[in-house]
Amino acid sequence: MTELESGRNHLLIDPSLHVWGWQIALYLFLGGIVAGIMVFTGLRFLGRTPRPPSLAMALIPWFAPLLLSLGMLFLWLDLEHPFNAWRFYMVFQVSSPMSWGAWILLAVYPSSVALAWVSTREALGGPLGPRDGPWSSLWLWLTRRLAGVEGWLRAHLRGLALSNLLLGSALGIYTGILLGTMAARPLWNSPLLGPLFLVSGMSSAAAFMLLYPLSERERVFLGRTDLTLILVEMGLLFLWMVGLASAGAASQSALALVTGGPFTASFWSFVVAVGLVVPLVAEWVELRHGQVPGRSAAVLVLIGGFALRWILVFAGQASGWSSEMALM
Amino acid sequence: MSTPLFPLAFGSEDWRLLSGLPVGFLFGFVLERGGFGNARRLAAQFYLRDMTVFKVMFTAILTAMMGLFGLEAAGLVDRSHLWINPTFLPAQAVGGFLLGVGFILSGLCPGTAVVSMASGRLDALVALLGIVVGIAGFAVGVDLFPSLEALYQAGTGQVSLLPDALGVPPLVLGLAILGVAVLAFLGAEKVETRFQGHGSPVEGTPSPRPRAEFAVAAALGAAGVLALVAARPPSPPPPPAVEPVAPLELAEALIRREAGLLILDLRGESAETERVPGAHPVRREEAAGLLAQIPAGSTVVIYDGDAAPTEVPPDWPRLLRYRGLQGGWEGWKREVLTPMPASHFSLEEQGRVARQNQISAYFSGASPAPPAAATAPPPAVITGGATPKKKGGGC
Repeated sequence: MTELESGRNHLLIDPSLHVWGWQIALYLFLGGIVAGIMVFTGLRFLGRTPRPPSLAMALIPWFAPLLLSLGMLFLWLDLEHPFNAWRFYMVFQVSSPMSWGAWILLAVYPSSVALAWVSTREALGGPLGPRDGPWSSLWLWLTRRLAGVEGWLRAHLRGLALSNLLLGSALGIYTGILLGTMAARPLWNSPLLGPLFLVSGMSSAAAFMLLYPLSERERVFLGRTDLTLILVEMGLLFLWMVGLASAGAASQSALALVTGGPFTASFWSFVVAVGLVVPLVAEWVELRHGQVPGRSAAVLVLIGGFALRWILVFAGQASGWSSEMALM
Repeated sequence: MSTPLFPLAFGSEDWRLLSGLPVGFLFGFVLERGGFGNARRLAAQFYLRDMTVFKVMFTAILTAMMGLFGLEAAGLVDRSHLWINPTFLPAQAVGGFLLGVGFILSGLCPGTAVVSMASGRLDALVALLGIVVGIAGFAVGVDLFPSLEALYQAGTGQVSLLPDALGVPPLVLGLAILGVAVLAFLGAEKVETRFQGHGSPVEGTPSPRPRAEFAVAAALGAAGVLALVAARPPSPPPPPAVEPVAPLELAEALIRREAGLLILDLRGESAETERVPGAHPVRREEAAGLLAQIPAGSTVVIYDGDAAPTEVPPDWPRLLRYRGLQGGWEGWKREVLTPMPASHFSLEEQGRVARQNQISAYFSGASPAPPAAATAPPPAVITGGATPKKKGGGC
């Protein structure tokens, strides 16, 4: 006799999913920033300008592996069996976004570290390197040891930059696809979530970079880019909502979570007002009046980027297919 | 009478919450543009060098008073739905004094501190942290010291309006306040001129400040509005409506142990034996006396044998929210105490029926645990006389 067991008869699944917590929201936020930093760094090396970058801009690529490690720590903390995580790397499932993600995360490390090293050497190498003090001997030792590797990397700089660009994009998109492929949760079940997360991640990365002492030219470039990214993100959010509104009853009731339901106030105030509209106006006013973009709008963009992931993770789990779900 | 614009109709509680965002943004914007994000200017008020705060606040009070009178007379605002702070005179006197001390020390009040912080001023950030620490300290202290708790609760807790407290008709009081405002605006100009020489000019003071003549003209205009309002035949305010509440909705509210909820059973004798959990059996003629003790803003659910009264008796307090239990006691028995046979319903409705049956089992005693939160105790007698929430006034 074959017994049928319903997977829904479970405390963590019904009446609403309680599987992912703050760790995932933080990981998605940090992952988005890392993706954006890698894309920007890749683009910087692909479209080289004769003017050298500021020291802060040259060192920012290091945040990619650093923030990713922090994000992966949160991801690891969320696992039910954290010490089985190595099994992800024993297999590759083409149809599983999580498997893709695991391998993308692994590939991000060498690529981002290599480009960060080249970027640092360009800024600090030669006369700019620390010549005295406790760091000079370590610096000397490192540069000598890595001279051969560095030579090879410089010879393949375009390829390295391209790999950062592609891996960064893949990382940004995969976080959205990971949620988007989950048909059981209609709020996430949209192909637009991938591009939305990539664009939002790039916008957050531009804002994150603006927190550091960049040159005026770099600040203006990032401010302009962020302005465009915010506009694109608003468009994607609108399309995502239109997609849900024009789909079946489950999608419509999922959308109702942010258009009248319990996530409405937080979504429209933190994501739309604080994270998109106010920074859009602020950055536009700054650029229109010839001002150098400051940090206030950047902080708001970061708050908005985090709120988007936080709300999507929790509201998505509250959405579902049963008719009473929207009332919960 | 036209349909009132206030209370505003919202699709859900979250939209209502969200409506605070644009209002707050505009309020902050106006305060900032008025220079109220600058602690120096606010502090100058206490040295009588710059009376802007006094003038603006008095103008705001006058505007609100006249606006409310006018809109209510035009039938655009239903005052019974307005939240009015209950009066705890001793507590508010002490609290007001402490707020004043903090105001002088920091040069900011809570509202302007937020505005000032949004302008990037670090002193405002410190002031806000102080506010948070003060609130947290009070919350801890009120539990530790009974005398503090006694002070916190000192006063009537009733909504007390100036015309009632002084026994003066609202029109006379309104005109008197306008008269005081005219004198105060003229006096403020004189005080400012006298004290401005005693210190350095206040930074950030905009040059074209409203002249006293303008304020006097505005006050006279307001008096005209008041006279127009008074000229209208006084129409008796409409009695508050009784909004229906479904038995299951009330059951859910009881399970959530919703605060500020009072249930009155008006059936008389039969209410003594069985009634909705937490309901008070009370005769209709005695209800007004009981309701007078309930803080404003509480929700009162009323029911009778097989229906709920559709109109509120004229002697019942107007600042309460009245809701009538649909179907009365019979409706409660039929919808909450009687389980539904699940087989009669389609697959889509089964979830709702299951929930209804959980509630039914809980209230009829078949299930000991409440369906929503297994750890919550069964609903105790919930009275509207629970500790009333005080709301801060602020500026």
